[in-house]
Amino acid sequence: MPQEERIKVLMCCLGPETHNRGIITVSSMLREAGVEVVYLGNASPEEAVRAAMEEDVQVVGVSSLSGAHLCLGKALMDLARKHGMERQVTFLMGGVIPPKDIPVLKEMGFGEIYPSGSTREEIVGCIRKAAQCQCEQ
Amino acid sequence: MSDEIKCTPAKTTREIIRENMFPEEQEPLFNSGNLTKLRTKFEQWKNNMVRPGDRENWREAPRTVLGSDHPRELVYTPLNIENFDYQKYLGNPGQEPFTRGIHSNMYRGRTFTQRQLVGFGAPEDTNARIRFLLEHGATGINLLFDMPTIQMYDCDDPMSRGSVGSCGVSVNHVNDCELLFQEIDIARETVSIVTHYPSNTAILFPMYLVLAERKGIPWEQLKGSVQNDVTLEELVRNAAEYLPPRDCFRIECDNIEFIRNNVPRWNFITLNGYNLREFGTSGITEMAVAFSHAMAILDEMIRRGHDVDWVGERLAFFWSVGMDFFEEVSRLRAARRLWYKIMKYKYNAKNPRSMWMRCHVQTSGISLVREEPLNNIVRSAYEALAAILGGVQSLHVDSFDEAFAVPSEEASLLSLRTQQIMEHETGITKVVDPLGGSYYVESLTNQMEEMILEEITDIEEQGGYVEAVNSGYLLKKIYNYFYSEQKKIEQGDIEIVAHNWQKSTRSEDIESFRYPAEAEQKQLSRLQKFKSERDPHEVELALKALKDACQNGANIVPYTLNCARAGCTVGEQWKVFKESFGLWRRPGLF
Repeated sequence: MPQEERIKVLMCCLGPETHNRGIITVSSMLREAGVEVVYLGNASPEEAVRAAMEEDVQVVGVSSLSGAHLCLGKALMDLARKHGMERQVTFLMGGVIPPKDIPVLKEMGFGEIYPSGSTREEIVGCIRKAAQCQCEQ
Repeated sequence: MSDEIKCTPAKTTREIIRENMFPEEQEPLFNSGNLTKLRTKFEQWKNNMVRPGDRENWREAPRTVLGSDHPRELVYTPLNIENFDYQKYLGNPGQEPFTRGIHSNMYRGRTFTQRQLVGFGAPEDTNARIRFLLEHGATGINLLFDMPTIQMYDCDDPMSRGSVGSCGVSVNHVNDCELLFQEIDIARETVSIVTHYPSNTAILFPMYLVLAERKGIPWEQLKGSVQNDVTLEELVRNAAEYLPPRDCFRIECDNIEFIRNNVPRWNFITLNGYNLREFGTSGITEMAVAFSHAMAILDEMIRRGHDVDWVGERLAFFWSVGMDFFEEVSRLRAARRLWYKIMKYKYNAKNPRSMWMRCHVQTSGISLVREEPLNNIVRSAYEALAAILGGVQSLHVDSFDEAFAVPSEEASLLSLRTQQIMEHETGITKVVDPLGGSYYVESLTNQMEEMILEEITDIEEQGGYVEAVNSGYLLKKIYNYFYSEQKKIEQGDIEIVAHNWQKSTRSEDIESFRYPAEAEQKQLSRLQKFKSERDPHEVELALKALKDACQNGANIVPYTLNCARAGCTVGEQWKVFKESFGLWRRPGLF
């Protein structure tokens, strides 16, 4: 049963982001939910994509609180497409994201966006669903 | 650095204070006969008038964001402060133990500095916002750098892509610094330069000093502060690269020593509790960590041969003020009294100024939520009120749109107006320490002091501040706090209006701030031009000299100053630090 395989998620923040309460909290939530977390921390989009391939994760979670989400989000998704990852890996983003940017990020290819205040159920539920969809593919 | 610093002292701070203070006689205000009568009546009242349910739940903890969970009684009476000795516990304002405030007239003499944070985009963008706030009555500048500058990468570093000018202003070299302060009278304004870390304080503050030289202003005239705090560099921040805590602490002390010697009116450190607390910890831990850190600095400065007052009289603190209103007021009062005791009874300070717990506070950003953002105006205003009733020196009020982005100009002005309304319309600044004498506040003040001291003892048992950072003890402690707080919010144990209580159904739609799109490009071409015009040989020599100083133990600041003059960039100097000290693997949580 592919569904029983342990879900593996890469958690990172892009660029010189200093805030880390969000990424630590979400990583802990996922771990509590039985998800395997690869905690990368600060990384460039290139490093994030490389780590996602090496670790063979189903989901990449990006934490962004400093306003670089559009620029670095785009760089990340462009690279993911270049490596043909965008269909095998679900990209999610959370943090301080203005409402107007949410559709823009989804357009870039992010599966879901979690602004501050998102719940454990929303995040964990989405990751489970994403991993399941990929298994069925 | 000597090994003495990491050793656990033979006696804890608590023991030293107790031993040195206890010979002093107490003169309780309430006489014991009256208290006995009162106790009888109180017990009668409690048994006859108070409902059994309330009697059983007599002590109840307010559940607030970043609160201490310290339980409160249903009502407070003189019985909660039986030994209350006015002179010993409070003193008059401006008198030992400074519980009521560090000045005799407090805000009548000098109102709190209204110091709103500013920083975004290229230097000229921030310069315009600073001037806007000054034109609207701000009484101080509070400058924030962008993510690359804080993390010490130049704007052309691959790491900086997309982040230039975000969350602060981009500064790569001394000419950026000059542009930032264009047409601002730095001889007159007090400037808080939020450098955060010791490493970037050592790099950025010299650029400010060179700017003063260029403007012909003697350093002796400069007034303001830098942050220069190991807690921020090693504990709070997220980063790809960390220096070892010991070296970071050495840079912090080098900054202190240099600034104290050369820029006498400058606050060489702002012991930052704020970011630690906002990272996620109680107000008790916030103060315990900052005080333990301050003591580590004093120990090191004494070891370097300096007088305790020489350092002590310029130490300043930075606190977060959260939602538990009375706890916040009491905590600020308690911290003043405790710091006085530490300086007087542990360090034998002679100058009363060294015993002052001077502080800037900022209302809590983490207490603000995205749902119905205008509610945040109310939250910030209550927090600001607690700060003023707590007798702080300087204040920043967070803006309602901060869960979305950096404050817009409108939101930023509203924060300033919040302060002005408090000062000019409510009359609260006319009376010093207006909550002093409240049975509740005095009792809570006593308890807060005791709790802070207890956590200081915990840190001392871990080998002191630097070791508690190095071992990961503090990081784990904070993580445990904020993860359990997160659960309490999820479960609704901590109620946040419109977020988890009376959950909002309205869609969020506010016009949030947009970073100037062209900042990155502007900074890139400016840096390129700057590099092409400087003397590469001079740059190389300056960086080489800095590396030698890092390795041979000399105070590094004269060398970073030399680097600023030679036109070395922020990133070039950070590289020297990394090469000289090596990188530290921060104990991980994962």
